[in-house]
Order: sequence, then C-alpha cells, then structure tokens
Amino acid sequence: MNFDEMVLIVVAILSVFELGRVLIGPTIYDRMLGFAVFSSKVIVTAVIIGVINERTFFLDIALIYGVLGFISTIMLSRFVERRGDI
Amino acid sequence: MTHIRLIFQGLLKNMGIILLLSIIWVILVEQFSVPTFFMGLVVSIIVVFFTNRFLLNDDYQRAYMLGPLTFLEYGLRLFKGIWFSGFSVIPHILSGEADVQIITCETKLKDELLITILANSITLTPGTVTVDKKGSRLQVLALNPPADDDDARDVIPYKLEKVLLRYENRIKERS
Amino acid sequence: MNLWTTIIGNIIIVIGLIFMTLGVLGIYRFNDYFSRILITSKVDTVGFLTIMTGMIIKHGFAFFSGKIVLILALYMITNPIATHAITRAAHISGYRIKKER
Repeated sequence: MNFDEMVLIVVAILSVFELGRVLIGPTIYDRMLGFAVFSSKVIVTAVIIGVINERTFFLDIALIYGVLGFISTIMLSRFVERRGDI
Repeated sequence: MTHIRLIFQGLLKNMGIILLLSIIWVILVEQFSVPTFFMGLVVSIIVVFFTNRFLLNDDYQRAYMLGPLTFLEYGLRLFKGIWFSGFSVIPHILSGEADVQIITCETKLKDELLITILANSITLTPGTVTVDKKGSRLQVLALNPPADDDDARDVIPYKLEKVLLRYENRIKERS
Repeated sequence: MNLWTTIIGNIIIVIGLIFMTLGVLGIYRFNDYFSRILITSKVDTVGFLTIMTGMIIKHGFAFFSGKIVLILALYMITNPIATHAITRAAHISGYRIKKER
C-alpha cells in the first residue's frame, strides 16, 4: 500500500463523518453546511483516484462535480431563504 | 465595411482575455500543438464576441478583468493570509470556545466588482464571513471581534484593500 | 518525478490532511451554527488548498498540474459564494445571535 492509497482511505473516513453531521444536524443550515463540505471531499477523492490510476480524465470529473455541488448549494439556500419560492 | 472594422477593433481591445481562454482550452485538450491553439483561439473569439454583443453593455475586459500584475500580487497575498489565519484558528477548535458577533463596517472602495472581490476574500479567510452587502457597507460575522470602543474596520484585511485601492485609482486616472 | 519534490509534496499533503481532520473535529465541537460555519468550513478550505498545492509540487510542470490549477481557481471562486449564500439564508430567515452592532 503506497502513500496515495493511504491518503484516499483517510479522506473517505473523514467524508463519512461529514455525512454524520448531515444526518443529525439540528437545523437545516447545519445540513447544508455538511453537504457543502462533503462536496469538497468528493473533489479531493476524484483527484487522488486520478493520481493512483494515472488517468487525467478523472480531473474533468472533479471539475464537473465542483460546478454541480456549487449550483446545488446555491439553489438549496435560495429555496430556504425565500421559503419555498425559487 | 466600417461595421466589420468596428467588430475587429472591439476584438483587439479584448486581446488579453482571448489569450487566457485559449490557454485554458489547450490545458483542457492536453495537446500542445499549433492547430489546437488555433482551434482554441477561434472558440474564444466566438465566446467573447457573443458575450459582448448580447450579455454586456460594456467591454468584456474592462468589466471583468484585473490587471495581470495586480492579479498576481493579490493572489499571493490572499494565499499567505488564508494560510496564516488558518493557523491562528486552531486553538479555538481544540478548546471549543468561540465569541461570535456581527459587525457593520464600511470600505473605502467604490467600484462594484472590486467590493465583491474584497467581500469574497473576507469570506475565504478563516475567522470572518460576509453576511450582507449594501453599497459599500458590509456586514461581517467575526470571531474575536474588536472591543466596543475600537474601530469596527479592524475586521477588513488592510493589505488586500490597499492593493485594490491602488488599482481603482489607476482605473480612474485612465478613463 | 524527482525524489526530493516527492518527499516535499508528501509532507505538504500530510499537513493538509491534519487541517481537514481539525475541520471535521470542529464540526462536532461547537453547539451553535454561526461558530460552526466560521471555524469549521474555513479550516476545511485551508486543508483543500494545501492538499492541491502538494499535488502540484509532486507532479512538477505537466498538464496534470495545469488541470489542478484550473480546479483550484474554480474552487477559490465558487466556495466563498456558497458559504455566503448559506449564511445569508440563515440570517434572513431569522437565526439570530446574542450580540450585534
């Protein structure tokens, strides 16, 4: 097991704990915060998988997931801010 | 004929942003050759032309571009600021105590784009988050706020604001 | 890939992982929302930037590093907007804190 795979395992464990905050969060803002932080973990995971397999198209996946996480966070917060009227 | 010359002059004014977009195209395709670069040049000329024509009233480069030297200096200072304030936040995590307060303060900048860039950098540094913006008045959520009789502007990073202020003065002289 | 650049990159990546672990620790440590978003999410951002810098140093001058620079630029533009949107939603819909001036 080399260095990159160990980094991958640590990041996976950390993202599981982020999802725990999404499950138990008392207010809805906590859940949105947990989701926003989790999406950054997904970007790191995609980059590290690209390093391990030596394929560069995983970086494109990371780029697209960054855009998707951003748009979903903005839309969720807008939905909450206007009380259901986007 | 004059119409075509006007379009050509408008594209010549946006030379910097066109070159930047073609370099991004070359990085995305992952092939360093002359045909790839010309393909990127064509695509970015189309993008800049249609954005100027249909979405903006102003020139693309005047509306959305910092000068390259200002951009480089700003980016390096921002990176350094993020890194050091990241270290200063660690004791609060370990002890679990935080004193949080919302502070209203005012910047000296007047340009809308520069105020937005400053607000985003305030959000990006650990310890401060911008909540609301109205004109040049910012509401900042701050950790360890300045005391009641101190100046409320202490939450703004002065060095970054100074770089942006210099750039704004230069723009005003040019126009 | 040089040996020394690999070692320096690995050290920087380990520092970034420590920052990310502190962020996850902070998310369970505080009990009101505003201090959570002030400290946790931003420390996590520092960890992200550090890990990406380590990757760039490890790979040297190649297309791989160029794409990572693109991801870094996109993240540094979009992340403060997302945080600001969540906090603004909380502020507008009435989540208040004791002191305000």
